[in-house]
Amino acid sequence: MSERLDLLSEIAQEARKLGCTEADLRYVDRRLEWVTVRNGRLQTCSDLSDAGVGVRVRIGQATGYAGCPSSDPRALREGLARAVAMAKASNTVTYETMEFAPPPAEQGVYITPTPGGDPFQVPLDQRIDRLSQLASALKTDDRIQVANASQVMMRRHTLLATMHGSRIDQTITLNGGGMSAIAEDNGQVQQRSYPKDFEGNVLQGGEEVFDSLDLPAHVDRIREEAIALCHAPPCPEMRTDLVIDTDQLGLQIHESCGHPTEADRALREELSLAGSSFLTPDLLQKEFKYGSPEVSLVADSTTPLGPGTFGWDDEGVPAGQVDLVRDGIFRGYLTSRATSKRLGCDPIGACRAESWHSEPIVRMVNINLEPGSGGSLDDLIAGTDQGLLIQTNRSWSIDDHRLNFQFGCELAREIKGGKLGQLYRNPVYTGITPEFWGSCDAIGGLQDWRMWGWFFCGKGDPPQIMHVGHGTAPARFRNVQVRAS
Amino acid sequence: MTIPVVDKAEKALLALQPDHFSFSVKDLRGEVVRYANNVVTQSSSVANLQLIVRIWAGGGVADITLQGAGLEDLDNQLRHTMQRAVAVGRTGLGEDTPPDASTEATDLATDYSDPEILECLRSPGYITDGLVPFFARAQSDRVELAGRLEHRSTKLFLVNSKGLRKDFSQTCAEAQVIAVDEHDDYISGYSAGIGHRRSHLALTELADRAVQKCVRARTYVEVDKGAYDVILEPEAVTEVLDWLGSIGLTGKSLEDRSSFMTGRVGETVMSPNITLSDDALCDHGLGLPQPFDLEGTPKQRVVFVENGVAKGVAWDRNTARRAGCQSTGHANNGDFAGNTGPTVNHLVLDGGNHTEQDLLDRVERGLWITRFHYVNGLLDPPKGMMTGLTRDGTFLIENGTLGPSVGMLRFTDSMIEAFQRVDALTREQRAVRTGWSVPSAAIVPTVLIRGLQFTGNARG
Ligand SMILES: [Zn+2]
Repeated sequence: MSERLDLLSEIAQEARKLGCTEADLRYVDRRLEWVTVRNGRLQTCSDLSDAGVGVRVRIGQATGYAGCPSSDPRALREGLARAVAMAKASNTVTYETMEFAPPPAEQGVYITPTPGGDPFQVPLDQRIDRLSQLASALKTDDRIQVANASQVMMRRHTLLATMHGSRIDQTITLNGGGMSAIAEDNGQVQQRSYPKDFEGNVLQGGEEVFDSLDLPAHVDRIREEAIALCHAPPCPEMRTDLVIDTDQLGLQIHESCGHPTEADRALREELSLAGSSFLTPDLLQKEFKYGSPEVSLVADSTTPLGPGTFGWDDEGVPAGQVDLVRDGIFRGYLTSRATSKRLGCDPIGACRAESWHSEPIVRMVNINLEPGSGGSLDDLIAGTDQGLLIQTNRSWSIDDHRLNFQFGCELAREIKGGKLGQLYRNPVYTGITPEFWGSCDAIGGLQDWRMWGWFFCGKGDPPQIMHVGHGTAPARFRNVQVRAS
Repeated sequence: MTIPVVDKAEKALLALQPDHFSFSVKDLRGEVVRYANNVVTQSSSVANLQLIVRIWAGGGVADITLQGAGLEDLDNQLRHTMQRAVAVGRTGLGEDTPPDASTEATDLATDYSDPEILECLRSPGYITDGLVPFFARAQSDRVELAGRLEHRSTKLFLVNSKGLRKDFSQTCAEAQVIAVDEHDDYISGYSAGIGHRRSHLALTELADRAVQKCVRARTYVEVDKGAYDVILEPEAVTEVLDWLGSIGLTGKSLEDRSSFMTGRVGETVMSPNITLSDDALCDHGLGLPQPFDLEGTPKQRVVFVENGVAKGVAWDRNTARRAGCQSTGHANNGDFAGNTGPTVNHLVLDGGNHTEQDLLDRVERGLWITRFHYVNGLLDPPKGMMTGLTRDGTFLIENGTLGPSVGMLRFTDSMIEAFQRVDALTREQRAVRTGWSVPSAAIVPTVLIRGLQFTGNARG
């Protein structure tokens, strides 16, 4: 591999002669497999093998980026020339200079530990059989119309060489999956998923990640709950206390803390696509109250199992831990080298790209809610006099400043006198981000703190997907608006 | 027309002797420039080659997508995929809808390339000139502009073991402009365009429209939640229709029990002035025409709703076979997702007989909505229950006159029921971008809907 790194370094040095003050060459080779079994047949058996080199240069006031579908020296030089042309053209229309924090000079290797073995080495028919058994077991009741089980795994090898001396070699492996059952009964169609819908739970690691999902242990519950939901009354409209389980709270963190702390949004650079953020830079100086004193949210690119864990980001900035919210007060952003320069702080290493054809942009890493003193999920329920337990995301929507959110979940259960009662279907809860986090009065402890992976966070143009993590315990929020969809 | 990788892949596949194979090759060139705060924030050029292969062998089927340098090890990759297909066969779960020749003629030409876009792409960075009108427009009215401009050219080749050999070329130009008040990014306006020709984008006009909206939005009133008559611009309508496409207009949505059409074909489901179809033939001259899908099936016009009556859904080969009907040419458009079922990429909502002013005249008190943000259609799919937020230009209408901005509002409503309350549509339609990584376009008019339910605003 060092031969390829040498070549990338050599081309990065050649960029000086073309007038570049910076040049990053990033080789990416990734493999992604996705297998879905649905109602006794294989629905998806896809495999992606994608490789190439991204060249980013800085010239004068601007940057240019070129994706090259090859890593031979001729293609790289052609890519460099294209990146230079793009940057030069930008210089002719731009009014201001894009400044960057000083370039890092980092060297090293990062490899995901896979103690349970390489998931890509498990024979495909074994993996399909495993999923098929799950889907069949889910469908043992006629009222289950659709039963799905799936596995997603990805390996990405990245080599980064920069003009200023970084030489980095990283191999990241992700693995995970999940299952769902759609029941039709009593004039209703209802779904239950485990561990959550869509990609399931995808984490960094090897075969042990899939094993640890322990899907067979949850089959009977998922099937029965899907059917029971068809007979459950709709969630009543009211303001009440919510205990939110981690399979939903992870996405709540993603949408209402992860995205609004992206510095490019706060600096109005993402207006045309994702939008901006209510967390404007002036609030950093104003001790802005994001949530209650229980709430501390940390951007951590070192958390074990986290899909947002790495050695360095795609600009070569080392991994670390940075407070976004500490004891309820807004403290920081997810930054790249360019956005951190504009904000006058150090880059935290949150600039990531899906592949070689996509330019690194500000991205979440693992955005974790620190555990609190609320004990287990059962303790939180036992300590709640009147309220609802809410589980498993079904729909999500939040405005372009990330203030007004509405989440639909698969299931709600009444809590009365500290005990679980009536099941409700189609629960929806809504709120305004800082009010909602301000109403958080208890966060569970480490015993139920769990890492959740989201594989398909979309952002950027051309659109990129990114895998990010959200470690969280269940938590309680007072006086939240709920109703049925 | 062909390129070397097409022949190379065909040769390698023939040598492997699978039961069947099919593949597509996509040769893509694209440039994107994004700008914000008077700076070009991104300037990217990408060349990519993508090969998607499906192999039938040993009673199983397997897919592989090879991109960029992933194609360099072609023979091994294909051998590996063949082994995967055989492994699938061993499980007995593989689904067998072998390819066919799909030789039926289509009405559609196969070259939709615009020489102007191709010329631009031959000179890297030349696209940046297109930003000049935007930067110039930002020098007045105390606004900042943000947005993007994109050119892409795609050549697509399809080959299968039944003798199918088809290709087509397409270019795409796309622009988006957001104008924001220099001091307050809650005050904003938006406009966008997409087409297969550069001349489909009127850049100066786009900038003007966004700026005018932003300037108008500086006068602000608060309104309560509740039901409002709404005039939705094509961008807002498309957000909703695009969701409807995935939860309700395909064969897979019937299988999933998520479609509002389930058991209702032949019934009146929407207002009689609604005719909704998918039409890749694009006789209207707008949008991004496409002659056949990635399975090689010629694109058919599929009418989902005609004068308010439910007619049918779109199918790919697998879902059609399971339902005992024919593919309508709606196989997945090539986003990496494997065999996830049919997709609807060329939605057309027929226009009515009205102008925008006619629509305004019909509203006593209501809202003008430029676009929605973050619509989600998974709340209760069979009912078409959706939620979403207004963005970049929402104005109060009183007695037929456009008034001040009302800021952000959240709607939550059954959009099937809302389309039963469509009062009028404009004659004029616009092309609106849809699709995730592979752009496509819907052709949609401005629509007046009575009594859309708003359930939230910036205060809760
Ligand atoms: Zn996201």
